[in-house]
Amino acid sequence: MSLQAPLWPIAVARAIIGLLWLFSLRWKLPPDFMPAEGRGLMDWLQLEVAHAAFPLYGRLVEQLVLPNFTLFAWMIFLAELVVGLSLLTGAFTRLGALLGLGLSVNLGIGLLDVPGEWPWSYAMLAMWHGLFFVTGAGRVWGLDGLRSRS
Amino acid sequence: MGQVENRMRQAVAILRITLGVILVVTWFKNLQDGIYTADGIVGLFNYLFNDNGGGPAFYRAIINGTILQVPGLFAVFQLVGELLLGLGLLVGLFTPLAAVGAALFFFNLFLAYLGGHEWIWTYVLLTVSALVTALTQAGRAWGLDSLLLRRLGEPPGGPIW
Repeated sequence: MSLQAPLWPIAVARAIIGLLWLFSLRWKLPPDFMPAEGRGLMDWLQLEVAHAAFPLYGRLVEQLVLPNFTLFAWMIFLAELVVGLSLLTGAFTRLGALLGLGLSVNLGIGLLDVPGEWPWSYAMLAMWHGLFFVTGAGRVWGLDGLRSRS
Repeated sequence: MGQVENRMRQAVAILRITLGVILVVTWFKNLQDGIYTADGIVGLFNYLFNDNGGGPAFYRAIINGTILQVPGLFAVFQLVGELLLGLGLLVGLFTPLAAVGAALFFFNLFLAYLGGHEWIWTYVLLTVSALVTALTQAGRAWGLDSLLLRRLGEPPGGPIW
């Protein structure tokens, strides 16, 4: 009777969600953090202010993030790059998952009331990062597994 | 069962329950919005095809040749099917079957919204979540599948719990 859940499907999901983060960098590439067409990081931050579900969060973005846009844009870009690479390769997965969890929760809070956004997307994203953290998902098909064996 | 295995089982059970909640909540909203009627189905696909991507040409051809020929019948199928998938995942009954059904449903949504203005990764996330739920037999923790497993042992005809 098999009670043990296989880890490999979670490893595949980890790599796919790593790709999700890396693909999402397309519309926030430095130096201007804008894609050739469509909305860029600044547009999304402005939407978070205009449709803030939590007034405090909206004020924080408006008064702290937007005036220091370049600094925060670099921080967001680098954080998402690190999470994407960590999950894709399974290196330092728990750390990447924890950072990804924070980014997902932040996205969920910021975009909760933005028209056209589906809050469940961010709930799912946050939950997946929690799952990667709890299961140490880099131990199978990931560099964490190689490190622990050597 | 060791602590690590137990934690893993519980983690995928949370994934399963989340998918079940999403399906059941969406089912209620669709019911209120009149989606599960012939007009609702036709309206949904008109919106998808004309205003929101509508997917690749082969997908449109399949939908036009099948679902849109019998929208009333499909509405009933969708009404019952979506609810059963949601409840199956929520309570963890025949989880692999329910999860494969959900994965097909979510992949259909992925195709339908492909090329539109929705964030397409939502449907990738949903499809992957359903597949992982199926492959990990996620009803074996906090689900009715665990009762079936204890009473009947491993399913004889393939992994249906």
